[in-house]
Amino acid sequence: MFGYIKPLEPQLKVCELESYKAVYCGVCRGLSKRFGPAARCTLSYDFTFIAMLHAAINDSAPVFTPQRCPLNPFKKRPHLDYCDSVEFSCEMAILMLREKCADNVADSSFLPYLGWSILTPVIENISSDVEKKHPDASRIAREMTEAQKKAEALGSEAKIDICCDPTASALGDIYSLMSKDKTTKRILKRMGYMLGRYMYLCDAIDDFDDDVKKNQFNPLSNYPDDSEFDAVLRFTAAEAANAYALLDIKYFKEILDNIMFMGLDATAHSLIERRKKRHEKSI
Amino acid sequence: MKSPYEILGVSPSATDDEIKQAYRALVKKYHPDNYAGSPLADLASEKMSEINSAYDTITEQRKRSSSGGYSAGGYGPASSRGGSYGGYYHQSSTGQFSDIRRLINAGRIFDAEQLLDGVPAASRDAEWHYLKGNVLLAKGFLEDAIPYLRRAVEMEPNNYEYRAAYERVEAQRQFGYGGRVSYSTCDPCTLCSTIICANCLCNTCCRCYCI
Repeated sequence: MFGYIKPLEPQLKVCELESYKAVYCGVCRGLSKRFGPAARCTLSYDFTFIAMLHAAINDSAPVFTPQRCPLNPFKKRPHLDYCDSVEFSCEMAILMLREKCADNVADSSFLPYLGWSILTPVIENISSDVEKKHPDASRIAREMTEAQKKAEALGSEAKIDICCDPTASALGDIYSLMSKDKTTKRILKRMGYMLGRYMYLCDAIDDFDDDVKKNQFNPLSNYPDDSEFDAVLRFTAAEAANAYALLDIKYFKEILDNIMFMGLDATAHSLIERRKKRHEKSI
Repeated sequence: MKSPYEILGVSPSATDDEIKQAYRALVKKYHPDNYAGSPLADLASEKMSEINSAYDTITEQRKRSSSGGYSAGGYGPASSRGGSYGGYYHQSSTGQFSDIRRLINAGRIFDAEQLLDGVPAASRDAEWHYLKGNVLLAKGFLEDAIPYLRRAVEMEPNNYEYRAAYERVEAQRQFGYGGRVSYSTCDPCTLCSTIICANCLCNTCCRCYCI
């Protein structure tokens, strides 16, 4: 469900792409520092975005240091230094991973079930300390999984908005934790809601044909017209961008603008195109 | 406190044309039409008046300091604008649902929804449908909101407030962020908005929201 919130790379300047990569590397290093090297596997674009947004709306200027990395040991590359923004995004990543785990244990077939249920206690253990630090965020994440189950239990009654709501609300609440200012919190909540909705919808489109074939639940299967999927996504992305436009962005403005005003639409478009191609092949 | 130049995102040494360009780009971004029916409409309109007063300050300053007299190029002075834009919600607050509008403005969406759902079917007029659509938009239930907004426009095609919200939603579904409604058709319904649009062009755009 992760990896949909990313820039439209060809439209980034070379220096912007460099600093995007440096944040990505900084988050990766941060995960390793905070939760051990294995946590690097949970790295995703979405949490890179969260780290970047957190840095952009808070006052302290981001600092980059050239460092080596186990995956690329011969060349030093700039990394965003470990800071509140990196820490926040890493901790949220672990909380979301915990929920993904719980979700997968609940509805996987035998082999993946085995894998996920071995992982679960490990992640519960790691995240227990995050839970103490961010009790609100942890509660929000747990409630999300519960509410999601309820929404999906509605089956053919479940309309698209109800299905998106748990993930979207959780992301909205998590985003609003990034700031202390009341107005900023309000904007972040709306933006997070719409981005959560966007992620959930992207995931649903990606899995749509598989789910239909296997007769599994998919939130879009009750939507009357599959040629309208892109309109639903465009509107959701536009609402997120409308909220984002109201934020006071201090750093990384060009990259964040790229993600919010171009990247979201481009990713959605490529998902829809991929689905069309699959259809053409199968015919 | 930000300087007027910072608000417009230009350097103090920028030319008048550059400033006008930056101003227009910002107005396009924060135009009330882009936020019609949005729960953040009030913040967008605050931003808009901030941008307007920054632009006014800069043009006034430059007019005073330049000996040749700076031409404002058709933009009226701040005083002729007739006060800043107040947001769509305030426009018809005397309707039968003024208390519900107040709840929506205060962000109490669930209370507003409860009250709306308690209205008997017989008194559900265009405004009811519009407000229900607004509540759903504010909750983030974007798809559920559309039929209500459409119904409001069908029931009262000449209401600018309802049209603005519905057309914004449709434009963004079709074109994404920054999507604009095309005013190419000429039925009596769109005539009203076409006039507004033409008026924009006459005023070298941007300040149509003050009519």
